[in-house]
Amino acid sequence: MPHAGDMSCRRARGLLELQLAELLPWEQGAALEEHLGACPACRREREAQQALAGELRLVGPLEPPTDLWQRVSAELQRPPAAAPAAPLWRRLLAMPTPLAATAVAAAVALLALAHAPRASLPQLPLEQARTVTADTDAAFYAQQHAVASWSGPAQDQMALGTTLVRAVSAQEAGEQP
Amino acid sequence: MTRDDVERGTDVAALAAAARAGDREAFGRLLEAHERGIYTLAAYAVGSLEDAADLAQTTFVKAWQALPELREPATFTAWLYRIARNAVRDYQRGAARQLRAGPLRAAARESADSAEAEVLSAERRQAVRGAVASLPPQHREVVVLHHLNGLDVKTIGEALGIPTNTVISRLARARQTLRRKLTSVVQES
Repeated sequence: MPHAGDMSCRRARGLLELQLAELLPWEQGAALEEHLGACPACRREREAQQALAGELRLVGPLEPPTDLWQRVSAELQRPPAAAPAAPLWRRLLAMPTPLAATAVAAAVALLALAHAPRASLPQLPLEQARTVTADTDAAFYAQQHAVASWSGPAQDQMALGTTLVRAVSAQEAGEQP
Repeated sequence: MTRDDVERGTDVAALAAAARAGDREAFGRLLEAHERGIYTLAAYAVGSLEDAADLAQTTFVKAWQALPELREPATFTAWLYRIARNAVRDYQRGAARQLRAGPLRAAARESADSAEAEVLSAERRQAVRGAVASLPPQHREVVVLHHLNGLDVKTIGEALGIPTNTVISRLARARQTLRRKLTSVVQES
């Protein structure tokens, strides 16, 4: 690369880029001018660069639609659209820890209840069932029922079933000769 | 800050601080100072003036909504351009979206306050625009921001998230390409 003065043309082209970006320090600018004074090729390069930059500046930005502000303003005055509901797992994660733990525990308990085996009442002939109901100790059943229903509906069914089976067994034992 | 801001004496930092505090009139002035630049960036990125208007609108709406998150009002311009770039990127990612036009149409309205533009013939302006539009995206972006919109290279670096030196080297390569393209246009005509 040729030299003019103390600066190579390669170095001068680099400084030209900085000058176009308006970032060339004064001292380096003076050294560049000295080089340009002695180097017609670099001088032509700067003229070409400046001409292009000038043309681009004259072309300038495009003119947007005149109603852009009205459009933006109208958009800003519109009430915000309701955000779509977040998935359940995300809402749980967003909860404070104790609340989330309670919600998860409640969900697990409900699932367990839904899938728990249901106690089936013994199938008794209608007449016999009436007899059993009439002969059963009402106070004993009411107590069992109250405690069991407090614990949960499935357990209540179990308690009722147990009471009836016990009553049927007692009756069958009494009927035997 | 842009060349226009300096020429008009717009105090972007003060307006941004006021807008951040909820002053809609200040935001309107910021829009006025930046609408050409944002619209131009979008237009050269997507090649459609209609979509560029939509993208400019989206940019300003998002900017207003995100203003409370702007930490340093003096960096408003770079921050706004980042929002615009993200809007353009979202637009370009939309798989179902079809670009409504390819190269920028000649019907683009000229900047109203650019009396100097008359010095440049309409054909030459069109040739320059076409050459800029045909640059690779990274080069086109810095040329639009610096030479058309008048942003300084430091602000461009902040907006694009790249070092200032990278902006300068991209500009240098882009100008080389532009000179080749425009020289061939002159020779052909």
